[in-house]
Amino acid sequence: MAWWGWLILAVVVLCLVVAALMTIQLRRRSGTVIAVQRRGRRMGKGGA
Amino acid sequence: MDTLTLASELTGRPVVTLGGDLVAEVKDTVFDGLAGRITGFTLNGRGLLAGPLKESLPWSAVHALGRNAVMIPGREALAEPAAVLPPGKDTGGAVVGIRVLTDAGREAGTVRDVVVEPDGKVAGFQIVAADALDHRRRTVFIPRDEALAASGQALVVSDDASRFVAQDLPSFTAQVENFRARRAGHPVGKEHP
Repeated sequence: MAWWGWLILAVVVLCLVVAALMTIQLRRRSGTVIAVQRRGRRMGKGGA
Repeated sequence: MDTLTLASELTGRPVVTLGGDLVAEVKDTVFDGLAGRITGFTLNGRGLLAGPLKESLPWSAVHALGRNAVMIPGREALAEPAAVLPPGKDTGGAVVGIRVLTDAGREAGTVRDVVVEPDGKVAGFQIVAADALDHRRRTVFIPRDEALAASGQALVVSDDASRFVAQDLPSFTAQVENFRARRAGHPVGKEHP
């Protein structure tokens, strides 16, 4: 493979890594609405 | 009633001190399912690269919940996470996506969002209506009943409240007032068919 072939491959791999990291970061920062009850009992999905 | 806000729209809203310092951004909105009030917020750090903070913001420390920012007196208003979310595994659960049932046992739909007032009170819920409520299964707003809260995996609203649904937030304001007036025993305005 020519040198520019390796260069394109490297750029594509780099873009995929950056996209994966950004997805992880956006998920870490994503928010939701959480309901709690006064005694600390769970109200939402999987609650007791 | 002042302007209503969707809780999902609070996510990402900057937390600013009265001194003008931007200290964090809102991550999760936490509310008391029994009292129907916001108890506080979990926080993200500033900027896209920052992760969730170990500090949280109790509602009691909020100076104002504005359209563009959450104002706090100072950085000392931030507290440990337990001030908002009780510690342990079973502290709270996401309400988006859970079933909505009426107190008469009718399926009303699934929760899409929570509607809050500027004073932190939960006015109602945005739900994807079930067939029994709306055969076109549209997204509607339904008022919260003061007397009802939640069972294990579902949100319970008054069957009466299902007659006060609204298609959008501006008309929902009037429906909430009508519903509250009805609960208080006063004459009401127009009900939704």
